[in-house]
Amino acid sequence: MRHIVRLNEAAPRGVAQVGGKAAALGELADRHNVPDGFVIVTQAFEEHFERHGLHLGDVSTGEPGQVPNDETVARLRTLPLDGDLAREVQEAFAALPTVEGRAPTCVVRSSAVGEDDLGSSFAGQHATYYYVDRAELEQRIIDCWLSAWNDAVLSYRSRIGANQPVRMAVIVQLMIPSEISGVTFTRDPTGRQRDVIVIESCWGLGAALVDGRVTPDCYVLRRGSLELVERRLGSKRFKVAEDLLDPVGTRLQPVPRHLQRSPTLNDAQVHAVAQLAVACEAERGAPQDVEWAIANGTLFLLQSRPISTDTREPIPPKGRWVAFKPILENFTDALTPLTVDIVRRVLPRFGQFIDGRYYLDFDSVRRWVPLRVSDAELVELVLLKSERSDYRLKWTRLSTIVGLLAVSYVSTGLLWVRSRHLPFVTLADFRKRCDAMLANSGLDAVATLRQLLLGPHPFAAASQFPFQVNVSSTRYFFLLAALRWYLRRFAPTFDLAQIAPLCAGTRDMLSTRLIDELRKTALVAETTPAIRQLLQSDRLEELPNQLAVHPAAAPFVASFESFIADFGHRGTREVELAAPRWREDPTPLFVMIRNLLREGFTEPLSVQAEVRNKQAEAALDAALAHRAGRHVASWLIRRIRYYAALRENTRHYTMLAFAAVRTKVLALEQQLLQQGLLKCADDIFFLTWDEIAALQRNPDHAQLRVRIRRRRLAHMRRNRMQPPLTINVDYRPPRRDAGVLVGQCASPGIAEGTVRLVLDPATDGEIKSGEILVAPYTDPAWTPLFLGAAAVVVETGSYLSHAGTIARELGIPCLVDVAGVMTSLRNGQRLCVDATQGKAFLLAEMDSGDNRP
Amino acid sequence: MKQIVAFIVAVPLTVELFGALYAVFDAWRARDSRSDALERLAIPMAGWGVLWWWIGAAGWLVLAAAFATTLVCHLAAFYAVRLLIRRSGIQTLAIDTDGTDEPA
Repeated sequence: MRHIVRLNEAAPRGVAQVGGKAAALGELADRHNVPDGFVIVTQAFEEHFERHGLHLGDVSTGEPGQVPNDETVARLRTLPLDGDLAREVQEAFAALPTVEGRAPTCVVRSSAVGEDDLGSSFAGQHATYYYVDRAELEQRIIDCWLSAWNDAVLSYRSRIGANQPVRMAVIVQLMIPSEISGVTFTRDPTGRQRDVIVIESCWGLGAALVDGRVTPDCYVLRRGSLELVERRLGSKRFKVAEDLLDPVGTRLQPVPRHLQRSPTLNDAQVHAVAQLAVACEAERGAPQDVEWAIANGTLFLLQSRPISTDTREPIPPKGRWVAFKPILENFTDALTPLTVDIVRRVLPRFGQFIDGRYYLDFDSVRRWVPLRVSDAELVELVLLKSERSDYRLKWTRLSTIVGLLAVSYVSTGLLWVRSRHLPFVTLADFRKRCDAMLANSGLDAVATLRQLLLGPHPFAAASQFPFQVNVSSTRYFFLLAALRWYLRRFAPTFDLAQIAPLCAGTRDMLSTRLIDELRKTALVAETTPAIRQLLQSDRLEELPNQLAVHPAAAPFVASFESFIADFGHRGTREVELAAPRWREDPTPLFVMIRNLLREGFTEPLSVQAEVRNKQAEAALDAALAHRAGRHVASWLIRRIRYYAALRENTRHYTMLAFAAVRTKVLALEQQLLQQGLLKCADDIFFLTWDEIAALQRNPDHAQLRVRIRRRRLAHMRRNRMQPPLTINVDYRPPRRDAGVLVGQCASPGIAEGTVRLVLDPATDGEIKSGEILVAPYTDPAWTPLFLGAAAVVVETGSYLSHAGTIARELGIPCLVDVAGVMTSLRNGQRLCVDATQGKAFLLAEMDSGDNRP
Repeated sequence: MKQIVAFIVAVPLTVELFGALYAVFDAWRARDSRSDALERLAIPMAGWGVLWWWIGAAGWLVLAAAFATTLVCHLAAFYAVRLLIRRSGIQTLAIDTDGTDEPA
């Protein structure tokens, strides 16, 4: 056959005939498990297009060929393969082995000359077609050839300066029905870590990973020893199914909830995949980017190419920056571009979003803080890590700041006075305002957020702008510092660890009411055996439909709907507009209810907190001799409790504003999808506001589609990275001893238990009694997990963060701001948390009996 | 001099009084909180009364000036934030260090 070569014979034909990818794969096919296939050589490409009048340029002189316009491409797409070539293709296909007696399906992928060189990868930019059967094979070969001129490829070619004539071979390979797929880099492709192998994996086919549709699991191994040094599980919400049973069905399918946060690879598979990559590197003589798949327990090598260096140089941010802790402690993921763009438009320039995370301008902070401190000390202060109280004042700076405070007191003081005794019940009026904004079709998402955060007019009730009231509740921090100082000075015998239960116990706090209300719903479920049974299902996403038709479900549904009416706008990562809310996807709540049913019911949270509160008050009474002194302490405690509740409650209503904005964005997305301007759901979150407007004005804005893909991949990359706490500031966090984790005490106490790492309560929301909850961050969606936990350890956070507030209400030890805890601990290890000392000690590893990380 | 001192004292007192009045308005929908909110008016009102007594009835202009200053500052702060936030020049910037946003 003139135009076809078998894959395992491709290497000797050379890159010019079979392209870089096929040549490399052919070389490896003898020694590794490479799916059988054949290659249509570049000569077929030349003959096909030259015959149809497209000048492809001259390879020998380097003269670039013609770039077909959209019209030409459309015409070329309809022209069939030449008779001889078509016959050769069909014969080669017929020679492929059958699968269980059936004709095979294939993958059709590009192997262009210049593709997969050291300097370029074209990864995911040329077309790849899955599940291709005999009937559509010829058309897919033509489509694959034509992808040499798609927008993404042209843009990439222009960026890397590749202007040689286009020549493309096509690989036709047996389709591997992979349950797990992934990519292994034998060197860290970002260059941030030395001597490591990085494995990324997802469920189903690898296309979801290459397109940035899922955040894959990431395994980092040391080169040489292949010791696993880091395992970070991704959110694998979708997969490209291994078998397309329905030919018109969508490729991207949801992953069952229980698998979304489960590790894709066990230790043996991680090692096998790493060894395969190391072997490829040894054979190819350069660091490799290896694509692989696992089907029926067999590991297949799909592709091996040199790791290409992205020619785009990182642009280091100018200036000095420090992470803004109040956002970071609730949300460690990078925000999507649309969320950043909408939020930045309602924030004055006190800081900057860098790679999707918010940072304060360190030099401005230094200018305004009237203390004599070094850069490192100031960073500790801004990150709320410092426990020092002996700072020296800078008097010259102080006078300016007092002046400015006086001016701001006159201009914003009314808000501070009004929010001193705000009845929480009135805040519920904000719902009406959100509803009115939603009904107003003249307001876009940005205007809606602006209106809802700033308030309608200068004489509006405080319930109309909960965000600003939330800012005013930071007085909590200063009052707490005052109480600590007061008790240290006047009640030296009082155990300061008791401040936490002393200031807990606020019945009005919506975060604790959330638990109590969910508990009520769980109690209804407990009395209905049929509902209890439904809640045990692995497919909880189907529960709403099952409840709708179940005759005994009415009381549970009524109770659940009442909960959703109050709390349905909440969820995980709620500042992120791309994150679904509980009312859109209530499955996480069903998991929480199941958790409550399994663990049994204790007293309501508010009652438990009040009991501990009374005990601490008795201890304080004993320690404070004077009645007047007790009055002062009691006043401070009442105020701290009030502001703690005000902070949580105003946050609850501020999230209502974000939920309203999300509703508007989703409506716009629906419109763009219907018009065909967007390809996939969620794509909108990878555009900026101006770009969406541009897309509406100019539907042929092809560049944007290239950007969406690039941003998806960048977003995925960023979420895998620990965000730097500082940028261009000389600050090194204190070193840790091996086996000892150091953090800040957010709720005192000592507890010992088994480590339970949870990355997302929506998909991984079950915790057994006595386990130690270890989380990257927490927000109200995590609260139900605290109920069974013996202690809580959080990677970010501060005393004032949500984790601390809830742990204090529950009276369980809580350690926050423990750097690297998510990567240094594994499920099943025994941990002793001494939150009072701000430390946790690794005891020993236990066999957890499950395959969790 | 007395009038200057009175003005300096009157401004924060006005903020407190104005804020307490607003708080009554805020609390009005919560029936149980109304009386408490009204009670909290007592201290700033008494403070105003003492101040007026100290500067004399003829000093009303100073108190009115303090009242006007507070009101104007409040209105100015409200509208200034609204106006300024619409100006792209003072909005927060967003940058990508990996060059994701450079033209494709």
